[in-house]
Amino acid sequence: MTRLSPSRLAPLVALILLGAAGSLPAAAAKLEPFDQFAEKAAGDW
Amino acid sequence: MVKRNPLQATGVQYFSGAEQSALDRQLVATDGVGLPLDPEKRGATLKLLDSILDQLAQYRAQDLTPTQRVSAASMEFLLKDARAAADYADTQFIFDQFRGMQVGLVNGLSQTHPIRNAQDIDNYLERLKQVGGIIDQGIAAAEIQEKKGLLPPKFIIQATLDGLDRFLKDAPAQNVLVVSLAARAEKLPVVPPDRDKSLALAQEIVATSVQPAFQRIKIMLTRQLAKATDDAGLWRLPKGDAAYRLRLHSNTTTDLTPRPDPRPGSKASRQDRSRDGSDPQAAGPC
Repeated sequence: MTRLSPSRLAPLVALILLGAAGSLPAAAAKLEPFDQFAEKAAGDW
Repeated sequence: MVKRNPLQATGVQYFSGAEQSALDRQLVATDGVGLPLDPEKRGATLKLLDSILDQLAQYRAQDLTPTQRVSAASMEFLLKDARAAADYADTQFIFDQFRGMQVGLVNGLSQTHPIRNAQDIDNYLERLKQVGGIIDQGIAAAEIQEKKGLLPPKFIIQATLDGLDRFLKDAPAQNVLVVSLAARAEKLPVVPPDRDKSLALAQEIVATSVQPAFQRIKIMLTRQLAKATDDAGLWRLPKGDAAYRLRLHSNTTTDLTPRPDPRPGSKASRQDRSRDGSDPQAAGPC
């Protein structure tokens, strides 16, 4: 089994952390401000 | 709640410019709960409704201001109510004397549609051309209801027929859809160059398209009158009980049921106890 040295592991950990950190704000970022959503919904419906 | 109902969009003038003007030229045939009769449009409308509800559910109450929370709660109530009403569309009839399709079209054009300039007149004429087709969609839907055994009560049909007679009694030049346009066009500060031509066209559309369509409603309702009864209770219709409960909820925003309120102090409760003599308040003044 190949063992990753700390120097090779660091970018992988950074990538995982970045992915985890990135996924949550991404979901939140998709949510437009409520007033904007409500105004658009009122018009569309 | 605007785009799905172009006449409502005209009434509130929610948009502006070309977007509003495009809506001001449209009419949509809707059923008794306000959903499009056209199956494709109906499906798209319900899909849109579900999509808005899904998006709304993503907002957490704690992230909203008090005003936004009220707004979100109102939206949720109205949209869920509209979603639920879709299942009971057949408990509402297409034509009646109060809120029937034919009443909505005439009132919408003669009262709601604004006449402020030449573009409004052009939009009016475009809508007038669509009335016959919209009515025919309504007749087709009412005939489908009839095949399911769903007919309005006799007195509703008679009152609707009386209204149709009033609409049809005048010659096209005196019809409300022409008179209303003429009266409002007359008051414009700048007389549109084609005003007289527009009025002549309105008269022609009423004579050749609108009045014949109203005659077709009359023919259908006259036939239905012979089969209808005076039984008006919603409970006589399939899903009638559930439709009644939904309307109770829609109109009161409560979960009250059609049964008398059994809570202590309620009117029904006092009436029950007055009958068995256990309510001193029901004894009346000494």
